[in-house]
Amino acid sequence: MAIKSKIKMLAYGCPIPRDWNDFREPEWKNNNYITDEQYKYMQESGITGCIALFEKREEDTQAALALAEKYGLEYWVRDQINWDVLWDPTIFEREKDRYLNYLNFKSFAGVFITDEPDTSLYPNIRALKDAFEKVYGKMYNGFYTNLLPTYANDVTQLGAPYPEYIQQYIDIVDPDHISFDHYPFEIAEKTKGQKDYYDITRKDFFYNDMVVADACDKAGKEMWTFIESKNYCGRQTDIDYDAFKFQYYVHLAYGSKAIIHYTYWTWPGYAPGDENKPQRMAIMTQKGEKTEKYFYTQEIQTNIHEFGDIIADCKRKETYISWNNEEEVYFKKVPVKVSKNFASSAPLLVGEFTQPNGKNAYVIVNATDPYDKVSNTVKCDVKGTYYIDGNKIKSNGFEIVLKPGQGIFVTEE
Amino acid sequence: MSKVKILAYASPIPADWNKFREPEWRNPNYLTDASYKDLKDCGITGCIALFEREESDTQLALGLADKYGLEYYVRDKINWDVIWDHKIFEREKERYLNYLNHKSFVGVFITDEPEVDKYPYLRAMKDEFDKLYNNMYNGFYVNLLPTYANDVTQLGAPYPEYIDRFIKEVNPDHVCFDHYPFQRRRVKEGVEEWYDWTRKDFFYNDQVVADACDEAGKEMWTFVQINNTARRDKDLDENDIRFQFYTHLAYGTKAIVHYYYWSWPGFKPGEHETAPYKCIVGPHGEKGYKYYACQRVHGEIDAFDEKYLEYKRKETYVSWNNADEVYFTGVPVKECKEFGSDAPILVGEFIKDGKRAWIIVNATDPYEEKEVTVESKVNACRYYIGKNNIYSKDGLTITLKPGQGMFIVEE
Repeated sequence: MAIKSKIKMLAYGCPIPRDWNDFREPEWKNNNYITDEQYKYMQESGITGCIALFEKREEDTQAALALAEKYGLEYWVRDQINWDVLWDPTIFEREKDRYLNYLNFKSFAGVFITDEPDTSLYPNIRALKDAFEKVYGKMYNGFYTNLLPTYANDVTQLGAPYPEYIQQYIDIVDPDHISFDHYPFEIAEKTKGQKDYYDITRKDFFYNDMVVADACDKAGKEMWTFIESKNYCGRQTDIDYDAFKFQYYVHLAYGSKAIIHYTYWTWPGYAPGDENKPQRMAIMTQKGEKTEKYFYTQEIQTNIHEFGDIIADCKRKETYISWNNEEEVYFKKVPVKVSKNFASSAPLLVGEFTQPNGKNAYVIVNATDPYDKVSNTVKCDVKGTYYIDGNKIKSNGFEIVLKPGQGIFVTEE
Repeated sequence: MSKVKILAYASPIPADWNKFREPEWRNPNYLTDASYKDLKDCGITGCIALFEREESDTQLALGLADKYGLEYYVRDKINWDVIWDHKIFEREKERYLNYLNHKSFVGVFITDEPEVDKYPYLRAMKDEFDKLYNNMYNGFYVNLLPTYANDVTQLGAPYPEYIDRFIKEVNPDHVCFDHYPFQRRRVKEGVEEWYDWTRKDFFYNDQVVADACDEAGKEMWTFVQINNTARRDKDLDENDIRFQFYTHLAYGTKAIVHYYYWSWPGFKPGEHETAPYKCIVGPHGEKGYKYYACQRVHGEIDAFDEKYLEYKRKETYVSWNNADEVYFTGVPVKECKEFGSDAPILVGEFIKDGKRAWIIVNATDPYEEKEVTVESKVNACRYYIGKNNIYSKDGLTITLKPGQGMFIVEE
C-alpha cells in the first residue's frame, strides 16, 4: 500500500543498476538491485519517492520507474544526460520522445537536473527550466535542482553571500521548491593541519534552514531539505538514532515539505577501504542489506506520516529557539526568545504554524546538540492534540521529557 | 535497583552445536563478543542456555555474559529431562561450584514442560540445588506448560491444579510457563485449510498463574512468542510482540522470556533460513525486523520497570460493558472507573503505599489491527507511553495502537 503523505521522504541514491559504473570504468561489476524486493523495502521504510543518481541507462530508468509505480513511489529521473556538464536546453526538445515516454509511468515526478550550482549557472538553469516546461508544461516540483549549504565558500562555490545565493535562485530560476543539502554532523581538526579530528555538530544547522525557509515563505515556494544518513566524513561516532530524528524534526519546525536522504543506498566506492565498516553504511549497504539505520528511519518516517498531511497544510509563522540566555544556546544565528506556551529545562526549537482553521500548531524540538545526550523537560501549555513518536494524545497540557534529538507536533484545539 | 528480566531463550549457539547427535553437523561458533554485544544492545538482560552442552562452551558464554552484564542460566551436558537424578549436584559438585566464579551465573535450567508426575523428582533436585547453592533466589529454573496442553497426556491434572501443585510440591521462587497465542486453526474439522488465529485463553493463562503466584508469594515469569511456529500466513509483527509484553506486565510478570532469541538451526529443517521462522536474530546472528522491534519494546519497558516493580498487583480485568463482545475469554470483565475506552482494554491495577498504578493494554486481538481510544479520568499521573514520560495534572486521552500498552502512576 502506497503511503499517502504530503510530506515527501525521498531516497537520494536509490537501488543501483547492474554494473552502474561501467560507463566510467569498463571493468566495474555489481549486481542489479533495481528489483521488486528492493523497491518493496523502500516503500516499507516510509520512503515516498526516489531521486535517481545511478540509473544512466534508459532501460534502468524504465525498470526503476515501473517498480516505483508498483510501490506507489514518486521518481525523479536522472538518465544519460549529465546536465551538470551539458547545460543545453535544446536537449529537451531534441530528445522529446524519450522525455515524453516517462509520462507513461504514474511514478514519474520529474527530472533531477543539477546538484549544487553556483550563481553563475542560474541563467543556464532558468533556460533549462523553460525548456523543461515546454515539454512537460507546469509539472509542479518536476524540475529538481539541489543547492549548496551555508558552509559552502562564498567565492569559490556559491558566487554570492548565502542569503543572496538563495534569493537569486528564486528570482532568476523561479522554481517550485528550493532544496539544499546541509550535513550537520562533521569532523574538525583539533590542531590546524594535523589531521587529528574530532566529531562536531555544525552550529549553523538551524541558520541554514532559517535562511531558506524565510526566503521560501516570502516567495511562496516549498522548502526541501536533506538528512545526513551516512557518516560520509568518517566521524568516530556514526549518525545515531537521536541524530537522525533531530534532523527530521528541525526541518519540520522550519516548514520543510520534503526530506531527502543523503544517501539511501551506500554508494559503491564512496569510502574506499571502509566498504564493510558498519559505521560508514547508509540506510542500505552496497549489497542491498538493511542496516540499523533502515529500522531507525522506518520508525521515524512512519511516525511522521501519521501527522504529515496535517502539518503540510499548516502555514509557518516563525521558528525560534526558546531560552532565556542566547549565550547558552548551541545553535547560532537564529532568534532566541522565551516561548509563552512551552517552558523547558534546556533550549527548545519552536516552530509556530497556523492551521487552515486559524488555530495554532507547533513543532517543538530538543535544541541541544543530540550528541550531548541532554534530555529536556518541557511544560506544554497548549490544549490540543500531541503527536509523540506515533502516539496521538489529546490533553489540556502536560509535562514531557524530550530525549536528545526528539521532537513533537502539536495542533491547538 | 530491580529490573524486569528480559531473557533470551536460546542464546547464541556454539560451534557445531548439534554434533553430539549428528557427528557431521557443522556451524560456526557464535559464542562471540559481537553476538553478546548484540544481546545487550537489544535490551536483553539475561540468557537461558539451550545449546551449550560442552563445559568449554558454557564457560565461554558465562565469560561473555559477565562482560556484558547479563544473567546466564546454565544448561550444560546434563540433560535433566532424561536423567531426573538429584544426586548429580553432589557428584559433580566441583563443576557446579565453578560456575560461581562468574558474576553472570544465576542458576541452572533444569527442565522444560514437566507433567505433575515429575514434581517429586523436581523437589528432590531442588533440595540438592539449594544445598549446593545456598538457596540461590530464582536459580532453579523450570518452565511449565500452558493452558492448552492436554490435561491427561501432558499436564496430568486440570490446569489450575497443575500450577498449584507445582508451587506446593516443588516450592519454587518463580513459576514460569510458555503460552504461544499466535496460532492457526482449521477452517473446518478434517479439512486441510487453515486460518491465522489468536488464542482466546491467552489472558486466562496469565490470570491462573498470576493469581496462584500472588497467593503463594512467588514471582510469575512468562514467555513471548517471537517466531511463527504455527506457520501462520502472517508472521508476528511489532504489535504482536508488544501486546504479549504489556499483557504479561498487566498480570504482574517479573521476567519475560523470548521464544526464541536465536533462530534454531534445524528447528524447521530447510526452512529456518526463511523469514517465517526467523527469531530475534537469524540463524547466523543477523539482525532484522524483529531485533529492532524487540529493541524498541525493551526500551519502552526499561523506561518504567524499576518503578513498576515497586508496586504490587491488586487485580487484572478486561474493562468493557459487555462480556460477550470481549475477544479474550475466561477472565473478569467489568467497567473501569478510571479509564474509559471505545473498545475493550486490559486493566492491571497495582498499589504501593495507598498510591495506584496501572498497566493499560489495547485488549482487542492485535491481528485485527484496531485502535482503542482511552480516556484517563485520573488526575496527577505520570504516563509512560512508548519511551516517553509524560506528567499530566488532568486526565488525557490517548489512542492506543493494536497491541499497545502503557504504564500509569498516580503521583
